[in-house]
Amino acid sequence: MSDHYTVLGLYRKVAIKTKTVDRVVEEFDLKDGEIESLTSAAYPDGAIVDDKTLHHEVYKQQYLFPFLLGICGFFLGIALAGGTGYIMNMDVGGKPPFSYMPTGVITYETTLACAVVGSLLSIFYFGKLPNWTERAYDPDISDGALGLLVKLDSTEDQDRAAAMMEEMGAYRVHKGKNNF
Amino acid sequence: MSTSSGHAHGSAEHKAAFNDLTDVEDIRDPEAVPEVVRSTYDDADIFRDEKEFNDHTLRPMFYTTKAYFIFVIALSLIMAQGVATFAVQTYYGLGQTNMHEPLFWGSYIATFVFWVGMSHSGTIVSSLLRLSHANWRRPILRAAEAMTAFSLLVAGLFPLIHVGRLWRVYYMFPLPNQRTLWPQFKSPLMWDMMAISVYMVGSMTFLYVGLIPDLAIARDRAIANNNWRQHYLKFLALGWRGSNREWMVYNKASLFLAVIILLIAPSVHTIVSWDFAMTMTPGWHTTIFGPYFVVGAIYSGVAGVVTLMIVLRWLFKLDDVIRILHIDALGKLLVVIAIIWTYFYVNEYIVTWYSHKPEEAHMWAWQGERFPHLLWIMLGGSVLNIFLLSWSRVRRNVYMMFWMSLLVNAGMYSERYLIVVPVLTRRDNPFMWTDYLPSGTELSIIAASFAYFIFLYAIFIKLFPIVTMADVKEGVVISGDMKIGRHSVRVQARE
Repeated sequence: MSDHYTVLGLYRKVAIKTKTVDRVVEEFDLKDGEIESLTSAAYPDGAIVDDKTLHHEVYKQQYLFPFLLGICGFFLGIALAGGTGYIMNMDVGGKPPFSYMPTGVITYETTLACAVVGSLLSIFYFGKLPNWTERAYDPDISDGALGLLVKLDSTEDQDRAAAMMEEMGAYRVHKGKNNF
Repeated sequence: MSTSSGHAHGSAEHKAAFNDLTDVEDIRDPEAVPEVVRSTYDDADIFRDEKEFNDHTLRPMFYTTKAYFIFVIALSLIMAQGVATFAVQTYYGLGQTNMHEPLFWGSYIATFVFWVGMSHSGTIVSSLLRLSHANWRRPILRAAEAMTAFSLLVAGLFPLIHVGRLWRVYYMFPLPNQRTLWPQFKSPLMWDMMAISVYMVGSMTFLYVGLIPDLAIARDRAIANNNWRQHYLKFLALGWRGSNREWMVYNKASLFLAVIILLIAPSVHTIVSWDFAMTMTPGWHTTIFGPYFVVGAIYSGVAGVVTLMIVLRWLFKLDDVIRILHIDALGKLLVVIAIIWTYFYVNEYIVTWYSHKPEEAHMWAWQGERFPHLLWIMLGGSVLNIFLLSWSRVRRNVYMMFWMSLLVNAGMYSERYLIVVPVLTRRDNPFMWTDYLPSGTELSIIAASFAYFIFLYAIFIKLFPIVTMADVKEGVVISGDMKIGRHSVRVQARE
């Protein structure tokens, strides 16, 4: 994997940051996965990064995790409750070995339990978390600073991007290597 | 744009200042916005400066007084006596309690149902308010969700305490064992165990996912101050940076979880009610028990949230975060739920009364004859709430709300006791009729359960942010003032 270079600019105003986003995307022909906005609050989708660099696969695929795991949970429930009835049948209240009510209840619960696990896993997979390595970041972001992070191929581009961000109003700029 | 809450400002000064606003962002910048606009903004939301807001809301976590330690030690002592009592009960057997044939379910099961009920509102309220984009939800979500998680942890202990022979509990788990026993899922008790386990997994996940962005804020603060909390905060924050990708994924996952929790929560208390309703016992065998239990649980849970909010406000001086607005909104919610609960209760009574089924009519009469005080606490609390909480003056009075929320939960505990105990003391043949009051052992363990809940909460507050900071910030990002004719109103953007 070839090296990449990063620039993180910190801003105080959304409007200025958005203008910078437009300019760097155009200047360096950045694509999805090469530019990130770092904020301490959720901004509406597309409010800061433009549509070209929005993570569209999240919209298209994230629901698959809870959905597919929910299906697994459904079959797990049937196997657990229904299977137990067949393999280790105990005559309780004249109920048949495969009893709809308990199987339905257990299946409902296991389906939802697995969907919960699926939702959590979707955060890990699509959010690329956990990631405890040293990545481009500034603690000011927690206190309201708006971070703009770009990934570039060369140190020349890195210098140009850093200069551009400063010119556009970034109050602090960090440069880094392989820490996008 | 849709309006979320409106307020009019008519002064010329305000109008002039408001005309200068071009961007919602301007409101967040203290230098760019005239004071008059900021002050009106503060009226509807809470902060001027994000750093100041972080400091303020993280203060309960990072700043600890001596009183806190004394309080935690006192709770530990109550818990310790509960553990000791439980050890004695385990050694000598359930004869230490006043439960005996035919009354095998007593105060432990009533307390179990109570704690499961308490767990109900946190995540339900949180999910409902998230899905409905209710703006007032923002600061209170974490406290409510934590209440769910801890109530479940306490509730989960009671079946273990209740069984007496604790070492045989593992027969209920689908694990191979020497007697080749396998759980019989035909028993509602197994459904119960399954539902509560799933609810616990769901609630813990919901709580944790909501925490991630705030853990990152706390992590940064802990690192800056070289605080010992940085070690676990770094780990639990998962390396969160607040990137656009992370927020997108987080928002979608929160949405999924909110929907799933809304499906799980009612099933849990319905299944708890089936522990009773699936038996053929008069007084328990009724179709209304499912929804009746669910509504009762939500009623009790919302009251619990109110109590907690007021205590947090008072203890940690969070008046500007948990405001009268929130207490008022929760009060309105309580009125609605109280009306629904009363409807179910009266409906159950009327059907029995008019059909005049002797064994059930006898049960109702016995409740009133043997436990009139509990009946009055339950009904009085509910009816009183409907009338008093309909007045905004009462809902906006923190002291009144505090005592009324406690009254609701006293009433709901009485309700659980009245469901469990009277039926079993007058069961089947008159020669088996008996009486029951909890023994010292039972009371001691129940007291310890309350101490355990408060203890868990007290520890949580010191380890994690108690205010949902990221949600509050999102509310600020997407809201602003908008001019409509002569007035300015608070608006909130929605996608």
